[in-house]
Amino acid sequence: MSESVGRVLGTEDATPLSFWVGVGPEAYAQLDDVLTTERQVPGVGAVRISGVVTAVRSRHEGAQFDSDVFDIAGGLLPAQVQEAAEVTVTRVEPEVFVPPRPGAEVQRASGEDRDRALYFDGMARQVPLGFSRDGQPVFLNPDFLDGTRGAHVSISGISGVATKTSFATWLLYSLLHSGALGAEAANTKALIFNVKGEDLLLLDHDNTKIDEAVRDTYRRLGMEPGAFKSVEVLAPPREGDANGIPDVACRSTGVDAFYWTLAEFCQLNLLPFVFADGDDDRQQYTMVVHQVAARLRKEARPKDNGAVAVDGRLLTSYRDLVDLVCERLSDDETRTEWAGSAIGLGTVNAFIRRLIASGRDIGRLIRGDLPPKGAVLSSEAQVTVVDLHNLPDRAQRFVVGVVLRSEFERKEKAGTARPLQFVVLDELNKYAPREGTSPIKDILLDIAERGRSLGVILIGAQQTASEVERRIASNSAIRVVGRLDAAEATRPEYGFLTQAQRMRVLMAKPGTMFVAQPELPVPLVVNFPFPAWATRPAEAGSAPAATARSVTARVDPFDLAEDEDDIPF
Amino acid sequence: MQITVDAWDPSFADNPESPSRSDRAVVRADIELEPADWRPVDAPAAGPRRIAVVDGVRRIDARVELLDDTPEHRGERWPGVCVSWAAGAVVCDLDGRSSSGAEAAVVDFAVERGLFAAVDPGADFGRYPYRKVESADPGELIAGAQTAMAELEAKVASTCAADAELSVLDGPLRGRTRLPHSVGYIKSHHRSYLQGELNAVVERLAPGQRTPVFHLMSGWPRYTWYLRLPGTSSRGWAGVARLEAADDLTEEAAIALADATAAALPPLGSAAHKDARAPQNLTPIAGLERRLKRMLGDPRLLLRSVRAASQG
Repeated sequence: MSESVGRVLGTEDATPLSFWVGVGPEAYAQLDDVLTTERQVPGVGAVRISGVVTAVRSRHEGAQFDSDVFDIAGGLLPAQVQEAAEVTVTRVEPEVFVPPRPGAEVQRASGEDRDRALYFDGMARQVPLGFSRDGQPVFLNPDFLDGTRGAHVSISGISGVATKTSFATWLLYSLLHSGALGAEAANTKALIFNVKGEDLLLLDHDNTKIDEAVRDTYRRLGMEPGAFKSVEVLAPPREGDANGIPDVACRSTGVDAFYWTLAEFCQLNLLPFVFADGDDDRQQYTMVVHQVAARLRKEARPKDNGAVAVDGRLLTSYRDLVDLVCERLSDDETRTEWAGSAIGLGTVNAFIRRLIASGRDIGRLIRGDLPPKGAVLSSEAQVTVVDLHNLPDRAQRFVVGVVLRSEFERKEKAGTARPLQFVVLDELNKYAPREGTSPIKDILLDIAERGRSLGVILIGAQQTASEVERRIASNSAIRVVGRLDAAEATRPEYGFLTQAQRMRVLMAKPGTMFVAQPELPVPLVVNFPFPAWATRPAEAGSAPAATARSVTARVDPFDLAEDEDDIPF
Repeated sequence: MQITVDAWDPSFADNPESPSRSDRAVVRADIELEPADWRPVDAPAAGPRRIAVVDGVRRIDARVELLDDTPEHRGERWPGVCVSWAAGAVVCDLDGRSSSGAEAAVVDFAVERGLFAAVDPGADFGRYPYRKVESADPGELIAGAQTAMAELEAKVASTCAADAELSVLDGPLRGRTRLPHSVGYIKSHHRSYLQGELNAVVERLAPGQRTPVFHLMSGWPRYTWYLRLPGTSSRGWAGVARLEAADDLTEEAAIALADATAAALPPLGSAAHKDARAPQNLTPIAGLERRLKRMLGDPRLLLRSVRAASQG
């Protein structure tokens, strides 16, 4: 039998969308509790109205003046303490939108009633999100995540306390380990860009700091606590290192360096991504960028170790390439060939200035002295973490842009949405700002609008959703909000939050998220469990055995021969 | 029988004053002090910490006119009033025996309604059961309602009086003298019972002081004394309340009760900005009256139900 909480108030309007409940003397109602009531409708029968508590209040009845509280507390004035709770209706069943009757008994929904109120009963598959305030599990409908009925996640919150990346990784973990994706989970891939610190580089290490209570929360949500099983970390090569050793401090195994050869740079037309700043796009020299890129593609002849020869000159580093381009553009004879006709000298010089400046940032990523790696993303690991935190801003944009484009093109060519590819990208307001255009923003828009059918799912995080391109935010089926800045919380981008929730996000604690999903009219408040994987080296347990392979058997000794026909004996 | 409900707001012409009795007061002033020694008496340092306050409220919901259509009395008109009244008790627990600390709790209350008239309307008046009043005089009808309320107050008082160290019953003590530690509390003074020098003592009272106990034989016998509550002014009769104790007490017991009230009641006096009848309308009584008035129900709704019943 459900526990009675109180009765529908008659002194406040009860509507089919929200109503107030007078809380009984022996009961309580807290925010986020799920309550349910029933009324009889002539000709229809019983209509069950369920909802989530979005506000609670208590007051002295019988007090007229503020100072009466002292008389009441001093035992002089009789008064009654009365609590009331506002319920925002989530579900009316059957869908006859009638208000509950004042005086009707209101119960705390539990078990099936709660599932029904929160639409969990209609979810054929459930992704655990964590626990609500009352300690009951909260689920997400993966139909809105995997592209069946919707896709993409938008996570907002101020940095530090909003735990955006923790939630994003938790969501991935839950998705991959809860069984919601079924057998498909094994082939599902995730690409995570690590932009701050080395937080995400230890996803495959067990967290030694969590206790049995945390482990138990994972089991209660139907999954085993642990680290991600298959992780590959890609890091940029160390600055000034000729061998391309990955620039990572916290781990030595399971790490690989990522870079592009000069040949790839020219063939794949990567130059525009060097100028992927929103600021760059407003300048005249974008014309020059595309002209030079086209010229490089046409002229560059690939040589050994990714080097290229342009006009008979061997280029083995990005700086060589920069020098050559500058030379050609400075020379009056070749300028029109490289920059195109009718380009002012000022514009060309602006381009040269920026190109030279980019040498410092991008030099270590574009190599002519290392063997080509093929696709940057190895297709073996389930989770690929691309570490950007050591890179300057221009290089970060370059990597994000190039990696996203190659992934998107790969999925586009594959022609099938499955297996899914998740992309976790923080600081979306930097890569897809509301104002201006850039090559990265174009790709992100493409992902937001077409990714659902192509199987590329964006899990974007940002401090301020108001500064992210509107079409990306509006294409996100699932919106998640952690702690927000007070001014940010009032912006229309957070209109899905209830009035009380807008106040609550200002003081949301780390680990608390407001999750809006399309089926539910009210965002649910979720406490997600502490990560079971290490988020800093001090927490990390031993490295998983699988990553040791990267040291010993990165190159298969039997795989030396280029083509199998060529047997030497 | 034909019933008409007065279209006017029933609260008009409500005269709560019961007819005053004009017999001369017989005062015996030598109970506590000899009349020659009369002076303001200071309150003792400590008083009761658990005080019950009992009060009632009454409201006329509708005035009706009953038109007799039986053959022998055809055309006779009888006035009637539909009255709601309620009584309740507050126990002020100043030391906080309960878990939540000091608390003033409404421990008991009751609401009753009735139709007061000289003849039985014979119709079902819904919430208002018929109560017979001997006279058709409007004043007597009200007085009948007042008596019914006093009875209800006495009933409520009897349930809580045993629990309290001091019970303060609003209004004269008449008919409620059997309750232990109980005093009647009279807020307003229609007549002055003391003469000459003794009366001057009342005017000399400082806030918190009382007059000596005297015995009053005016209508019915009782002990009584005046007490000045702290308030805006301490001159004249401002803030002076009169208290009554049962005649069957010993003189010592009456004096002890007087001391108890002098210690307990001044802190309960209400503040002028919160209550028009401050300070005599004690804070718990004001709170209780608000609560009871709310329990009487919405007058417009009740008037509507009376109208509906009269047409049915």
